[in-house]
Amino acid sequence: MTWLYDLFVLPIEIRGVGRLLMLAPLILSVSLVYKTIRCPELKQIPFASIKLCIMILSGMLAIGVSLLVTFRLLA
Amino acid sequence: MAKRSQTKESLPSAPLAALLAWLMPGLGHWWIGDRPRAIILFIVVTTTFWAGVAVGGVRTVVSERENGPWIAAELCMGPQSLIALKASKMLREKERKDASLNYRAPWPSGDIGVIYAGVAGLLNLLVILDVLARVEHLHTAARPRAPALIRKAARS
Repeated sequence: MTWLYDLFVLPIEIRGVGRLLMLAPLILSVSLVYKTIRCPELKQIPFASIKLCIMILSGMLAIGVSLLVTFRLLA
Repeated sequence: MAKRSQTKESLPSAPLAALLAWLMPGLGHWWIGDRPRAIILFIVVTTTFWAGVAVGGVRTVVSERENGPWIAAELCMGPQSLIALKASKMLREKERKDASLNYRAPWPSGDIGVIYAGVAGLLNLLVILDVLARVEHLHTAARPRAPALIRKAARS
């Protein structure tokens, strides 16, 4: 039971780029659930989920870069 | 999706399907006969929730006092979130008794964990709504329809 304690009671320390990398699994989960609900055929799910995941990630990246550029210009 | 040839008596009930989906992600889909979809939904939603708990620690992630409205989203996960809430309360009680203990997650792990668990709960809410829509579809498909000629006459 010690491994359960270590896994679910003790928090994991996340620093630097890790904070941003944690976004990817969450977006993959959202894409998978959304596409599992929407796709009529099960075989469509993997490709559709990956496509949606990439779309969301690139959209967020674009928003992040544009905000960064705006702040740099205003500073 | 389940076969269309079901009689009205054998059609699944919407409230029961929603309750099953809340009890365990994907169980509602399993019950209406959509088993591969149920397995995918169970694995993805449950993994997301427990990944959040693992990142932030159960003490910080499932706390009704510290996370505000996020707890409402987390409770959409059903009994799993209730078990986590009970464990969180036990840890907070231990902290109160022994001041040297501290199970709180450092920033940003706590916030990341709360977001993971909250999003998992919201995804399960989506799964519950989907099972309700699928049951409704089964009921609509099973409803007897008038022949085409009668429908055409009724329209004109």
